[in-house]
Amino acid sequence: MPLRVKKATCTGCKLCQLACSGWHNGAFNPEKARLKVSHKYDKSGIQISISYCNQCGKCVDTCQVEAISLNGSWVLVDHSKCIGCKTCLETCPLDAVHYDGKDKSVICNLCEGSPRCVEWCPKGIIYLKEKKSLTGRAANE
Amino acid sequence: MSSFLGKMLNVDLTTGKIETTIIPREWARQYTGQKGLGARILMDSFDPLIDPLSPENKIVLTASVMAGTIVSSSAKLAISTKSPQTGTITDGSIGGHFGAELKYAGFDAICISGKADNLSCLYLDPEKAEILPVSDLKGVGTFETEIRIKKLVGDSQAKVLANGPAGENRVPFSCISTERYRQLGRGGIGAVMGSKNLKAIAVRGWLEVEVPDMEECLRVVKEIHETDGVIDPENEIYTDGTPILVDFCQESGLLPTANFQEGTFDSFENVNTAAMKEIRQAKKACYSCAIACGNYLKGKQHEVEGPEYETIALCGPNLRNDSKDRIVEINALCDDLGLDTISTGSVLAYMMEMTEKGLYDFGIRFGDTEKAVNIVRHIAFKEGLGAEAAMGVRALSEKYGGQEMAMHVKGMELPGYDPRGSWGMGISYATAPRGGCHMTAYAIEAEAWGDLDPFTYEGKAKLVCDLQNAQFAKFSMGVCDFWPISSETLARLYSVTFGGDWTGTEVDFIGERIFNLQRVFNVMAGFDHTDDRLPGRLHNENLKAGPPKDVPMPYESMTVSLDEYYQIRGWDSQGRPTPEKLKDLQIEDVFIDQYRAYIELS
Amino acid sequence: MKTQIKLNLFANFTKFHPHEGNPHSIKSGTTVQALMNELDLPEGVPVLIVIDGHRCKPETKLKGGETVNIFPPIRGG
Repeated sequence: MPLRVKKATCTGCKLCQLACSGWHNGAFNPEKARLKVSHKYDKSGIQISISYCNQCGKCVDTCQVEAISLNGSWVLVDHSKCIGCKTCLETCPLDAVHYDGKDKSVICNLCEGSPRCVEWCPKGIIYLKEKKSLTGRAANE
Repeated sequence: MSSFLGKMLNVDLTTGKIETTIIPREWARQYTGQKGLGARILMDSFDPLIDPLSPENKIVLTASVMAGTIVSSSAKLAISTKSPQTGTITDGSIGGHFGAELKYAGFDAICISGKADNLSCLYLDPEKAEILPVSDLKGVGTFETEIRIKKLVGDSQAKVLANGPAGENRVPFSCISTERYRQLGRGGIGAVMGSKNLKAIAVRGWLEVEVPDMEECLRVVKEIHETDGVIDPENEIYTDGTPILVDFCQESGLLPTANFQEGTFDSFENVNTAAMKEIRQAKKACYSCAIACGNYLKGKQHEVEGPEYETIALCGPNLRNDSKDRIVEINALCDDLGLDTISTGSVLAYMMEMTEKGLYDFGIRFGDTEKAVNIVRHIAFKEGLGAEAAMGVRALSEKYGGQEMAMHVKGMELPGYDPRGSWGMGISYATAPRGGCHMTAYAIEAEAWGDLDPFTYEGKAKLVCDLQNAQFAKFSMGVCDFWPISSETLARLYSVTFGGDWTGTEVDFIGERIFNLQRVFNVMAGFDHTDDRLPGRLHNENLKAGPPKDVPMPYESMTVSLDEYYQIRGWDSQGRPTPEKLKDLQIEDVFIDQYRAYIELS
Repeated sequence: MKTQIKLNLFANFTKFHPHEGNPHSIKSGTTVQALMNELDLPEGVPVLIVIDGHRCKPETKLKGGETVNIFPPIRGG
């Protein structure tokens, strides 16, 4: 049940990052969000891109201390086992692993089934595959 | 970190001294942020009679309590200063990221005074603030400036306000740019930066913004986003952006055409929203904004984020230009050079009309768009005909005549709504603190869709007064113009981000306080009711088509309406707030004493 | 008696325009309000009606041959 994004229509508002950091960290800080929206302007015009975890599980495989597991639908990091080696960060194919102030790996866990980014995206650009988002907008491929 | 930190970065460019000073929390209660806080900080120990291009002028950058939070459309930054174009207080507002980034860097405001010896960039982040020499950026456009500043500070995520060559050369209607996306600075804020040898301001933040109760904040803001229209995919500001106004203004007969000689343009369909959407490449939102009004357009040879309705009106029909490609070209050029498109279009139109009527030959006529583009390039460097145009319509008409057709109020060129089609806008332009500005009271909406007759002054004094109060609160507390938010809803948002339990009435009261504070500045800068006037054309010539056809808008009736406006405001017959009124508004004694002394002497 | 008008709907009213486009058929003497009801325009939303360059009220009767423009509220800037 991974996240999907209609990249072509993302407006770059970053309300998803605000919702993520607000919910998980109790404060608004896009640096700490578990997904990242960025934009740049080059000769093909404005490019807006999002990097986010799609729960592929590669970090689960590469973790040297088995601190990361895939609970059916989402990734879980056990901070009591995490040694902060950054292997998961370096091997993530989507640049979706982040580190917190205590040097522990932070990975999107889909807010345990109710992703805040999906809830807050104003234009329904982020959604859960094969599931209606909380705001009732239907997911489609 | 609290949503209001009470921290200001104080920069003296003359001495190079940078220090952090405290902003009293009481100011966040009385003046909130952006426009209000900016005016309060600007006026602290400030003489409104100083030369705006002297080192004594201050540039005050203010975010807001809501900036950096999840409230939609809240990342705006205001910049307040004394305008070199009008001599009044002026403040502009810019979208993009800067306002929020300033909060993430640990500041609510920046105050810049003095003048650097060499061309400089101010950079700040949570750990340091420094003035960097950037002489190699002299004459460089805003787009490239931003790219090079990011390289200079070694951070592609830095947010930059870039001044263009127009500002460096102190063009009185120069403005600044960010992200190749948004601009700010009607009234010549670019010129003030240029006079300080300040080429750019860059900020990078990685701190967090807290609110009193995160769960409550998320709950209330979510509910408001869903019920107040900001996420509506059919919101016309999202689907179309401001070009949606072209058809409306055409049908209402208030689309400025040929220097406001007419109010309708036969070829309007070449430049309306349908025409613009044909060349749209992408949509973009400012940071935290659900409305997403931004449009990137690609013309035949140029690309631009825009054009806003104002740019279309003043650089399109107002020049008898029916080419959207040319509008895109002029817009892109203005954004890069750092020129306000409204004033630029207006001065070109004046030059065209003067030439056509044989009053002075500027060598350009309505429809000469290639020549127009050429002049625009030269305005930024004050070369040739560009040096003349760079004076703006007021100064140019004082030099060459044709003052009736110099379409400005207090020196600021009029935006894209002909008041003869919406008389309330006339009162709005006449009383806006920074001159011919449409942003303080959008009377058009009430006159088009409300029960008010647009062709009378009856009820307009009260309408404009109420709109100004609400708008000044909105532009201070934190959200963008394009969210048509009520004061009650704004109060709820302020409560969950700042704390306390605010009401719509208190919000409007704050707006009234800030409006009066700006008026106090202007009075002490030498303005009174005789400056609250519209260009002669609007009273002496009637429009010839559309709903305002043959309807005169008499000067005498407007002055009666203005007298009513001053009474409602609690001002004297010269349009000056009374000291008693200022006391009622709880403006501090220090201003009242200074102000009382001034009006007793004058 | 059946007649025709030129009908233009703007902003988010565009989707209410019947897809046979212009000209639009009406019965002569129909009021603008009746026309708006027929088109299913949302009730309770203030409208600006401009007919042949004149602002008009919803009670205005249409004779035929007019250009009728209807705008929902539009915010500006």
